[in-house]
Amino acid sequence: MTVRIRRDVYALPSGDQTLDFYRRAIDILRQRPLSDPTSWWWIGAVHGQPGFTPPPGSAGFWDRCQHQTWYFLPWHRGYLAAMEATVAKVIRDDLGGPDDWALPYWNYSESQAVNPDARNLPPAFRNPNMADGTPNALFAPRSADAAGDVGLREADVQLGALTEPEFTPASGFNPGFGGPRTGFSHFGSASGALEQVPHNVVHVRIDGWMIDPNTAAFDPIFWLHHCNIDRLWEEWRTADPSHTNPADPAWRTDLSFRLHDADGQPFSFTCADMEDTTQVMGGYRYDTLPAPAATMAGDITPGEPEMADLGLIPELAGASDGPVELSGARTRTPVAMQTEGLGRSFTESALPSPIKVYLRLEEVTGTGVPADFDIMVDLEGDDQPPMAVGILTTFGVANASDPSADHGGAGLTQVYDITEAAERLNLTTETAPQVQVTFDRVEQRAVTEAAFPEIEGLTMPTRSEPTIRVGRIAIYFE
Amino acid sequence: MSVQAAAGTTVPAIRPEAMSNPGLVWPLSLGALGWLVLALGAQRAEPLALCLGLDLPSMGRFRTNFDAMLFYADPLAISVEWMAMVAGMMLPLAAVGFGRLVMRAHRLQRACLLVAALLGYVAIWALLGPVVILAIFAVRAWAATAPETIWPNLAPFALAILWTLSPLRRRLLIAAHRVPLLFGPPHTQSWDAVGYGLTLGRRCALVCLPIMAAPMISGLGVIAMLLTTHVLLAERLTHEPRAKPIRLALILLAGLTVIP
Repeated sequence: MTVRIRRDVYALPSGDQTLDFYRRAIDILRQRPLSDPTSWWWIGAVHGQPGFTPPPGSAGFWDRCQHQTWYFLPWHRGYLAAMEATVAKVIRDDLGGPDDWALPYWNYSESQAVNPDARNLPPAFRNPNMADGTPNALFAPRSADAAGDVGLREADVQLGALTEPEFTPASGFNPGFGGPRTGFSHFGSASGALEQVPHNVVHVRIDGWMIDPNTAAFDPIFWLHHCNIDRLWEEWRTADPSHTNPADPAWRTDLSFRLHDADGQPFSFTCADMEDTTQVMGGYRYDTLPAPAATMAGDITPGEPEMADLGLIPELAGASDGPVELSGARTRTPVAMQTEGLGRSFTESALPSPIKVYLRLEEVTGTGVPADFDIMVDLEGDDQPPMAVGILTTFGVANASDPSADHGGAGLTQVYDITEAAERLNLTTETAPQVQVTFDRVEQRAVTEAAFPEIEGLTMPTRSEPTIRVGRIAIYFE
Repeated sequence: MSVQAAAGTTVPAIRPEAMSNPGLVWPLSLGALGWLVLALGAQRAEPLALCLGLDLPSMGRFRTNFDAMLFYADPLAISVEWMAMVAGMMLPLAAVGFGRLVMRAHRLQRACLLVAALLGYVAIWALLGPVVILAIFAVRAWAATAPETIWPNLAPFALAILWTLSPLRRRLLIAAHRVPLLFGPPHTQSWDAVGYGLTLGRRCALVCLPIMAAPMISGLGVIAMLLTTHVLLAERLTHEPRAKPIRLALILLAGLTVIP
């Protein structure tokens, strides 16, 4: 069976028309009315919508993106494939293009030694206008400068997620590679490793429509970004035989999602339908990856969604005295350790310790435009520099803070494996009564102001100063 | 490893490893104890006054019927039955919240916080008990004034079904998912846990009471209460919470009340 090939946008050969067709197809899709399930606007609203008046038939189709959940990757795979099929149909039927058009991906994690431009926005997306002065449909308001630099740093696009051994660990707080076991999750709870970095960080760094889940999918770069995330899922899965998707029916078949196909007809899919990319809407694969093998589901004990994080109990070893407001460029706060009485400790086990130590930022809520923060830990008064342990990324924080949403406004929860830092700082001994946690705000570039296609209800996210509040900073042993 | 609820809703089973969490184990154990008490009570010569109703002849007038029910009801037995119903029906629904609370607590404080939260939760239901019991007797007394009409039995089901359609109920259900963050010294955390129990109890009562009251008023028995608990639990444990199975169960139970 011939499947379409998704290629690296930076490796497209000279004269290749993939992006040209994409741009012209977007022009056509934007002409379609909001009420048309194959319009650019409807497709974007499926991810999240900024305040459109919902047309008849949109209930159950709009505002459906899955985040902070083990459905994040399969839902976006289905979403991406449906959108790709719609664009491909326009390219074939309206533009006389090829039958096998496929979305390219933006591999921003590529080594800069191989591609110095890797972290920069692909050139076709940078300019508001084409050479002939007509509007460029691939352009959108973003933080990119003329060279396409959106401020991505190496830490923002690192692929530590690929070293996660499990898609969703059977118990505990670590959300694993693919995200925590949940029910339907339009926002809330903890992001999986891949969703956290690079997915969330890239969204925030690009800014503009991309910074808000309710406008993100209107930006054409969204689809190349998610194509890359989808490719990284395949890369993780094929890298090691032990990297398997959940075998749990709760993930594979119990929950189905609905979208519209290229003809505007509704269809539904489950995660199991998304496991083999060669079977997804005509089939596709990535240029640099081997053809997918048959389903490689793992063997995870069937579980249930609401009690997902109620397995073996991690042990609380320290917590902040109260909520922490992240204001200004730097916020530094102590977290008191209380290791006395714990059932597990480093001192009782040989190093390297089998015990994991997690920093858990609980109930991160906020308003305004999301911001990212570098997180560091250290001991007060020691002469060592603070150790970086991760990035707090607040993509989707406003949705997760909405009290009328499914999680009741409980906000985001982010989990960081700080085992290495904990061992170096000796956090489990009485000589470390408290640890200092520092949040350094990552400077965000200004968004390029430009005209963008007008449709009632679609506006740029308000440029208000973010107010981010971490409900509790906790340290757990597991 | 799953059970099928009404309308084909799959309710996945609890993972074995979750049973190491006392926040789950204690409420579920108390719930099982509650059902055991009800099952044993159903075998007694004296019927369960709440689940089955008192088998009294109609005296014609509302006040006479109501007074008769109060006269024949054994306060101790009816109190035990009420608390057994609360344990059996409500504690399994609240167990997830208690489990999350425990996971947020230091190992040395888990038991204390769990007891505090359970006390707060049960206190709400204990306070509600007399009000609900009197309301049930009142509706039954009204029904007894005109035994030939079916409306007094159907009205509570109609109200319960309408309540499942209410956006307010959904908002309350969502709000019930919130679990407090714990700060400060142990005694402060204990009071926070009591507060959580009170809040959760209040929200659970608002979300569930109209639904659990309908089969109680009709005196359909322990099996009907078990079915009601099952669909309420299914609503919380399914991947996308939907109240449709609850409505189907209520319609089924309402149908049973009109069968001669």
